[in-house]
Amino acid sequence: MSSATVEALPAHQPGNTEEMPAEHYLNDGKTVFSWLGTLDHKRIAILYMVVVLLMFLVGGTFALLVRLELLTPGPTIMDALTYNRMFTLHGVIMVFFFMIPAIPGIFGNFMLPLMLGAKDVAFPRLNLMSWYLYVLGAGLGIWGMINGGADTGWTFYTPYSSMTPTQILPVLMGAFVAGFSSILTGLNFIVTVHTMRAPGITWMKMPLFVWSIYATAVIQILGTPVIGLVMLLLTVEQVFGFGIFDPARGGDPVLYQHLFWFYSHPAVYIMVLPAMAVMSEVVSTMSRKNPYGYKMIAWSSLGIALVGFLAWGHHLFVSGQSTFDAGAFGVISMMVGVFTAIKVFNWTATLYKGSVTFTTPFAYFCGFLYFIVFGGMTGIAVASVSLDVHWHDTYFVVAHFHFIMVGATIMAFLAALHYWFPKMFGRMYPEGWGLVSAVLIIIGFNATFIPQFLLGNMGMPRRYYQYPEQFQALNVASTAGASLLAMGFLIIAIYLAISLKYGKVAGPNPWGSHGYEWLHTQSPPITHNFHGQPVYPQAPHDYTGPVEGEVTHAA
Amino acid sequence: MQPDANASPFGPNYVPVAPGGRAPGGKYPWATHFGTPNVQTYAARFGMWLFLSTEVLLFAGLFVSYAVYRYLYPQTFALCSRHLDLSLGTINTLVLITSSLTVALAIHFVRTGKNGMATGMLIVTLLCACAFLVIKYFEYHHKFEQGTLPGRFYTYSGIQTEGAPMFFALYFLTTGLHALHVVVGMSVLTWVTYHVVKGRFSPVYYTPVELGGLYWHLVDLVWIFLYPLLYLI
Amino acid sequence: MADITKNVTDSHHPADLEHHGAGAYYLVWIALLALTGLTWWTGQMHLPNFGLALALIIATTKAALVVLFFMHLWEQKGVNRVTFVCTIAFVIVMLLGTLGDVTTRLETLLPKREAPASELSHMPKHGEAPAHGAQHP
Ligand SMILES: [Cu+2]
Repeated sequence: MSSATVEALPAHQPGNTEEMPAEHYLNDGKTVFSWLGTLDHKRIAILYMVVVLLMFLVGGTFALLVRLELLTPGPTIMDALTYNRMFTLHGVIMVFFFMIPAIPGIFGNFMLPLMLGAKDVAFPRLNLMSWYLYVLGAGLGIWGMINGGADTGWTFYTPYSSMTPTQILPVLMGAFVAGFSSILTGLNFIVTVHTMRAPGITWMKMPLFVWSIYATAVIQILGTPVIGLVMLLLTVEQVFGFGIFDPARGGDPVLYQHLFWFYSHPAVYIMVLPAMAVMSEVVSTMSRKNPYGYKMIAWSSLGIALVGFLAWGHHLFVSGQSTFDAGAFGVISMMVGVFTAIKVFNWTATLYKGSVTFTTPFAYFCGFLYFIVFGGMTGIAVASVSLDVHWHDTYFVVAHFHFIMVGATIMAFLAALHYWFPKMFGRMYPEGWGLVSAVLIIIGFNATFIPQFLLGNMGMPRRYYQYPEQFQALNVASTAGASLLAMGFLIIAIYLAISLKYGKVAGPNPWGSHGYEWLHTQSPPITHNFHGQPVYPQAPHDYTGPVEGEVTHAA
Repeated sequence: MQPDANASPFGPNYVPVAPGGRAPGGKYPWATHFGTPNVQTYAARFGMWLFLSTEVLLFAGLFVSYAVYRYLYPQTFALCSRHLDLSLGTINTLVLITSSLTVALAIHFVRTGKNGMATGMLIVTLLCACAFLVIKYFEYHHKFEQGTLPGRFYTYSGIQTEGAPMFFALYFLTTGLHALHVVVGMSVLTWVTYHVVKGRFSPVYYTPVELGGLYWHLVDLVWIFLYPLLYLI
Repeated sequence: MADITKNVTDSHHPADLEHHGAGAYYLVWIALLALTGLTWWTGQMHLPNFGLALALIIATTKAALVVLFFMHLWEQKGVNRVTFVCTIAFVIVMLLGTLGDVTTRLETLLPKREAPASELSHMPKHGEAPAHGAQHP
């Protein structure tokens, strides 16, 4: 099977032998309305992709501006207030409008029904509505940025957020509306998993991607309403001055932080669980082996979802939270590491004696493994209360969460983009350029954030406009790394755009994967996915025997 | 299997439709991407319970805030609670409980094919909801006159302890968010009533009635906890 | 058709909820009215130690009646119950985590506390407070 991948390498050259299928979801209707009014989960996924990528561009631009400003100790390209707005908008956009909807919105929407042998998600109209809510939320957010822009940081901490002179309301409302979109997506996915599974797909035969997306959806359902309420309360604070979180009126700002992080810590797993979902698929396909410890990987997803909800207090170690609570939350936070480690060990064990094809998705898997282990271990470190007192609100924390949540998510997002590009568009990307950009991005990411670990440990606080001279070398290194990252993304954007039209036709299953989404569909799939009702006698990613045979799971 | 095929595998009462499509005269609009109409009903019901779960967590944030401030200001909260109008609060509780009964009965009547009775019950429910809002208006009005308002609007001289504005902030936030849900619930039930009258529901197909009812019960449920916490401490 | 989708239907639920007469609804309604009366009555006693606990127990009982019978959770098997129980569990988690902080925090880190009970004016009973006496029965 590796021969197919080798053939895929010179994909940018003409001379395709295979033809694109005559009918598929992309050419089924060409009008604008056939896209904007579509109920097809695959087209909605593409709609998500367009807006998510746009948001990534905007958020990334803000990040670059922040890094440019920090190139010199004093003012570089903007004033202090603009700087505050830049990092706020970078955070808000990347968290609420990029990372949370990215993988569930695009790949969850596209793959879930394909992996479950279903014609669509359970509630197609709700699915479209959630995209519109997302666009509305993003639109509100962008509008708010043009009209002033918030300067509170993406956490909107009180009491500052209720007295800032900048306009935080549109941004708040944008995040609020996007939250509804997230809830509806999660609700849709949970019901889909429960009701739309094809014959043969029992719970313990669901693809691991589905398990992880399911766990994500649970968090979306249970957590997102709370952030919605927090946004409402902040609005009330800002507009009417009820003083619920205002110490001058007997309010407790730490309560705000409790409510905020009750959602926003689990939100990290809304970003990372889908990343893990992608990786479970990629590692199995690229090493041509059954996932080692299928059940452990599946259950640890739910474990992370559960423990993720019991850990929020680690953001409040220096906020005045009680020592008792800090201790309890510190210990529970470390337990997240246990479930993550279960996954990491199982993925690595899957590789053992596998037949690895080193493709671009696999390169991103390697990067992912590194970021999740390194980021995770620094996470255990900052979960220790005494250490966190030193690191809190320094660049150490910034680097930590960029490693674990951004690094891991970006790796998975890019892996998914490459791994499923042939499924979604029927064409291959150029493997050589894929690997080049993967290397650029992984190196760039390290070059950006390893200096920040060091800076934080030396005591440089986050969100500061200026810094002492002695921090400059590392800041320059970090900015240089960020430009490497940007270069990598630019290359990807160019070759994927070209591949959309000129890429080598992939054929139904270019990876030779035994994942469910590749088995009974063409690439790209037809509008209702399948001709007739597919049946799945085998476990997903069962490479122990021929596809048709009845082979029990080896895990 | 296809929406255009007239013959349904589940008999004439189940009409195959596209997602969100409608069926004439009380028949079941079976969206064909679901395996069977049973699965569709199950999905709708489950989806509604998940939605209710998000509603519960939305209110939970306010209940947690209440718990924190009640812990910090126990005496003041007790004192402020006694400045609420207990009789109006109690009447409102009875009104909402009764509306919960009537909406449950409405579903019962749709399921037994008595659409006329169901319409009546839904109208009683809507009237109860109106009564609730009117009584709430009078309570609010009194607060505005008295100056027992949240945060910086608090002007009442009767209670001048730390935390009194906080009690009324929570009072207005909880009852306000609840009243918003009453209004949304009323819109949903009005829509349901309209379609009951139009004959869209029957013992075969009554899912939207049931889901609308579930939402209304949730509104009642929240109030069941708000009543003792606000009026009876 | 029916057996194609067997695995999604068989494990979950009967074709429909069982259907009973409306009698149970009236019984539940009467119970709810009675419990409201009870909590109204005990609420005005202002029981010093377990007044709040009693009110919450009564409210929980009422809520349970609504959820189990009006909302039919009693008859619904499986997943809807799990959903509801999980939801309540997470509400409790949020409550415990936050209260666990406030109740054990250093006094100086809390917002300004109210004056001790002795300094507050005496607690009026319902109907006794001069400012609003006329509103209460
Ligand atoms: Cu966290």
